Amino acid sequence: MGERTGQCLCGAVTIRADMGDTIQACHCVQCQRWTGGGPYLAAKASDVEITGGKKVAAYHASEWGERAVCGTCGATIYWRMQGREPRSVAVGLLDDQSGLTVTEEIFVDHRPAWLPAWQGANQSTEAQELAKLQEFLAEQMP
Amino acid sequence: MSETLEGHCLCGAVTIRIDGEHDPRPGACHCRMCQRWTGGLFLCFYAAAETVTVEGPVTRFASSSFAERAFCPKCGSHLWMRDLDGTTSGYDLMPGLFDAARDWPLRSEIYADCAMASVRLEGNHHRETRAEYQAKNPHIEGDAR
Repeated sequence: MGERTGQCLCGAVTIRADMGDTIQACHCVQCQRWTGGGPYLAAKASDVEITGGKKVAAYHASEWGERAVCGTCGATIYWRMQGREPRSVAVGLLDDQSGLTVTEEIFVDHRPAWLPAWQGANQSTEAQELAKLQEFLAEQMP
Repeated sequence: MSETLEGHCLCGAVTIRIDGEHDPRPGACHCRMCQRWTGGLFLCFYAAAETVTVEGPVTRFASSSFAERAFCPKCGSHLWMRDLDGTTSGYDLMPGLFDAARDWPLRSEIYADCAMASVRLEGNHHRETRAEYQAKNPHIEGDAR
């Protein structure tokens, strides 16, 4: 783990976080619409500190998820579970992206034809991810 | 390709219709500005201005002296990038908004030498480096690095 910094396109939102070296790529249709087409590339992070938080615009596309962008420039900031600390940030924000590897791909059944699979990454389908999510939500609301 | 296509942002507040000529192949850009904006991989396809109809709220951000980037103010979906020279410029639209675009082949990569080590696109599509693209487009005074 090590500290990394980043910022949105216009600089209104900056982040600082303790980060490992792994990225999760999500190919779900919501992420494709949100980012514009590519997978959402989430760099795993903890202790995420955000400055310019008033500029962050959040949207709840589901009952559990929150998607945040910069309200000024539209840059993708993070996806998180509602009410929880972000556990990842968009890799594109990072000032230094070196040493980061995609180790996990989810919703792989929605990966576009032109995008090759990441060799060696764990792969899971929409059905597998939704089953995991239901299990998680059931634990939260017994 | 000439057909009618309809796309939506994630929350449905913005609808984009294309009625006419467009290029059904997304191109990728790996420049730092595009990486920071999308969060990773920027993709777009071209449609002529007169073919595009936009309904709904749109926030525009002028990311340089010559181009704007548009997004939905409600859900943050990325919509397009477009030159700022008025109404004649075509749209570089985000393919993720259009269901039909999921099966389109990749057209090209620009700033290919700036791609993240973790994002490598395979295939024999056209590729240009940062230097090659900027030599062809001298109005670009320098992207954020």
